Amino acid sequence: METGNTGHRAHYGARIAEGEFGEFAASLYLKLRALVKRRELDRDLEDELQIHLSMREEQYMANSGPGNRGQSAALQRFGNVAGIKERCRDLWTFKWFETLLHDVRYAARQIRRSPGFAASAAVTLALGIGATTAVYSLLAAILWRPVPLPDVGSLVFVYQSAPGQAMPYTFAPAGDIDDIRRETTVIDNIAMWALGRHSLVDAGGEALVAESARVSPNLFDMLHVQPALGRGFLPGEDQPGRDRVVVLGHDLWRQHFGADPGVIGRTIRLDASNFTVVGVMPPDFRFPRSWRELWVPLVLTPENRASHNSTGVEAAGRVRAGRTLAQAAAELDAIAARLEGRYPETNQKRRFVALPFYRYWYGDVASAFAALMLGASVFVLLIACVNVANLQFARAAGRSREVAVRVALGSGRTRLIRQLLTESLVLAAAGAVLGLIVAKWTLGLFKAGIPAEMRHYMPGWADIGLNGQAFRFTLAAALASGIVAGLAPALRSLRVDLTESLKEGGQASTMGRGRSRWRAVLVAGEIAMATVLLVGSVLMVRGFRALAAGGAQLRPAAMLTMRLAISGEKYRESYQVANFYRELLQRAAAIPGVQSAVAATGLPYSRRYPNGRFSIEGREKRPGEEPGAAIQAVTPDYFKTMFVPLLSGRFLSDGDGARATAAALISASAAQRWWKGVDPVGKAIRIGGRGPVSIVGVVGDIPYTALSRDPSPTIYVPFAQTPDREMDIGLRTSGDPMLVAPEIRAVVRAMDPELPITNLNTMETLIRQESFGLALMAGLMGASGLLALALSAVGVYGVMAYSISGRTHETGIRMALGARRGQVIAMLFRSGVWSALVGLLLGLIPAWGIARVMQSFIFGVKAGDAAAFVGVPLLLMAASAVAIYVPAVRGTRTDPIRALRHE
Amino acid sequence: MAEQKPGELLQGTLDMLILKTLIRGPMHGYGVAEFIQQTSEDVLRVEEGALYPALHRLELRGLLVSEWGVSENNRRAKFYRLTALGRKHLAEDAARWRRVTLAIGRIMEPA
Repeated sequence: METGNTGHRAHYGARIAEGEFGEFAASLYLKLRALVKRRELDRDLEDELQIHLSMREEQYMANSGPGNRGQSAALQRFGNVAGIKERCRDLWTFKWFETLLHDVRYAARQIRRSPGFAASAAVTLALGIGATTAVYSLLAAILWRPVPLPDVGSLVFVYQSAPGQAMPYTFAPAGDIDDIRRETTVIDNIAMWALGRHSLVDAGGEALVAESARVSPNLFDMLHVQPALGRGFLPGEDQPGRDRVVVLGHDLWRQHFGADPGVIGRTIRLDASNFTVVGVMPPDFRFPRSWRELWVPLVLTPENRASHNSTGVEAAGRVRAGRTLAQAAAELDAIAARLEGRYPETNQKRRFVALPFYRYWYGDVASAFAALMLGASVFVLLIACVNVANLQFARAAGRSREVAVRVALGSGRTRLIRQLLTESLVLAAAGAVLGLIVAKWTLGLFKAGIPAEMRHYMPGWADIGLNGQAFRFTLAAALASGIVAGLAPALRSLRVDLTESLKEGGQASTMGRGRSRWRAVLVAGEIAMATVLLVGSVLMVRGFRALAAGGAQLRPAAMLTMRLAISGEKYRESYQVANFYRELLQRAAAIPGVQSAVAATGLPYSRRYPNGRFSIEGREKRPGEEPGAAIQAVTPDYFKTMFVPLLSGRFLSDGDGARATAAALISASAAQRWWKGVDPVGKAIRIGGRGPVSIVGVVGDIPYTALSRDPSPTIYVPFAQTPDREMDIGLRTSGDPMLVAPEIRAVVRAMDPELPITNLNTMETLIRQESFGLALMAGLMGASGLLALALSAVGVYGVMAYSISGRTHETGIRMALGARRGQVIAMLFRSGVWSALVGLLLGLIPAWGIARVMQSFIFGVKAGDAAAFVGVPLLLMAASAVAIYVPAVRGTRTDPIRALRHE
Repeated sequence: MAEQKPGELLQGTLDMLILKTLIRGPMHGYGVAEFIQQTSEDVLRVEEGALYPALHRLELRGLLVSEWGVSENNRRAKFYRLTALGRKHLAEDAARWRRVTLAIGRIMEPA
């Protein structure tokens, strides 16, 4: 019985649902038809009810004989004809929609009545909405691009972390990854890769450098992506001897192989060796992270595979079905602890980090930048909203009589609030339309401002612009700002004192308490937001400028740089390598216009950081905690050419040759860090397990990267003693460095026609490229800061002007009673400045917090920057002082008699 | 609408009575009111204030359709006709009505 009953009810429910949809569709159709034939509907309704009445009338007359009573009796029985008609009519209309239309029409009428107000409100909102939309579109195009990989949810990336490392996590050695692969029960199919570059000699005989990745054979399988053409790598192709196979990227295949499907099986020259093309990837395949042009197997010798101390690789796998990322992380912790016991020499304190795909792909720093940019633009929008809210307050005061009349006549509160809100939403809609123009213009400017060589690094460059997503965002921003700007004034304007407002000339002679509190809140809030934003933008701009200025000491405009990586049989022995570079530098120095030619492992701003570990002779060695520094192999002229000063001891010289005692120089920051209070000259170190090296001098620090304001401890060793195949070449020129570029090309070509030249640029260009992201951020933040300053100054001026105009009567009384004008101005000024000061203090607290966060991830930003925390308050106070003083003076200029008659 | 005077019909009941009345064929509003009043021997008096909104609501729900026609004494009038959906609804309403009245009857007059 029980079950039968429920079954019946469930069945009934389904039937109802089905019926309800039919009814909904029917009513929608009928309502839409009625919307079109509105007049017909009204006439029908009128007729129907009239006919009913006349039928009833006839019936009464028939029953009670002739007389005039029939009509009134019929009406009496029927009741409120107009009311019933209204009720029927309401059934046929989209009530909320038509009310909305009515409200919008009413709002438009109100707005047309005060075009000055409307224009300033719409323009203010347009700036805010435009800025937010532009930033959002920019981020959507560049950062939040659709991910071109399948099933990213189950990907897990494995890195290592160790105490004392500058980076939160770094690449783990292949040996560790191999152990993880064997021991894990949570992660499936772990693949490894390392980024690289390969020189490719194509049919034209010109060597070019391709961005490449060396990958374990299972990478494509692990990613669930198969080549569009040919095959991926086979198991075992990571063994030496079987590894000469290459998979091409789609772009490279199109541009250099003419999209020829016959390329599969063909042999191409990579780094002076023959490789067989086995596959071509699909067009949108981008992995690792940025774009790669070709993939070759990552060759791991048994020694590599067992090494727990080598330079690391990146690794990722799939979390097994039913397991979670947290389980993977927990398991990695356990494995790390086991490895610590197994390899105490290398793995002490080493831990592994499991990252989900989105952290790998977008990067923590990029996401933080995005949050910062979006936050800045939202603040601009909020300041704009406050300005508009204030304008609405001012207008609401002028309209208090209208509102009072309507309340007295029985208008509902919600209806009135809705109407006032509609007004502010209509303004926001106008602001949104203008804002889209502002955004489009800003984005166009931005897109054009990105130098051509940087577009390459921004896969989303072409997509920068307004699209459907941006429109939806604008709509949401407009809706939100309309409500934010309109709700408080709407609520406030309803709190009218009916009798007071309805009296003739009913303007309060002194400001109501509530209204002046609102004014104080608005001024304080505006200044607080402007403080946060300005502090942020000043920190950003100054951080960037400090970094840019750091490079100036190298005179980068008179320095040509390039990178060479020699390979092959000709350079098997290190004396051959040393000879090649010695001859190259001699020939380069002989080029007219070249003052000196030097080689270094990684020139400043070349984005090559030759980091290594060393140990100090005579000190206890703690495994895993050896000091780390940049190990630069340089030619003797390097110091003179880069203006590196000698602080003690001697420079390296030609005498520090291959057969001489191993010598090294250390930078001041290295001396400061590891030889505090001791003279390092004469002390010995060991670099990377080789024999002892004697420190012969200490030199000054020079900047190596635009990404840090702190000097990196550096150890300089003579190139002749530690020759390397891949070197940066720097030429100090007397004129424009690019003028000698063709000649140095000719020199390289003459010495080795197959050798590609990369990064041939002036150092100035390198600095600009490296700091490009920072320049972008600094520009955007600076622009937001200026916008915020301007908007908030205008806003404060508006609030004060309005509040003082509301106090004309009061100031009139004071002056009539003998107060001097100066005193009155001072009184008005003081009250305004107090609010501004409170706002400033309120803003400094979050600003300090944000500064700390910015310092943690934005290169060059120093949280304790005096310019930000002293300059910004001074600037804001000065701006608000003017914005308060001017209306105060203007407000007291009126003659007291006229002020008293003012109403 | 919230308050119910005694003798006034609950909306759901009025809807059911209208549907039941129209099962005899198309009728105008006045006819429906008169029919219900006469058939119930003057116990149920349909208020016009409720009748017309109810007719329009039923039409909007697709249970009735309306068209202009000529009444028995040659006057223009708007006639309401039951749709298939309306018939289905009436059947469901009637079934439920029977169940409820039966149940109430059992409680009020225990056997």
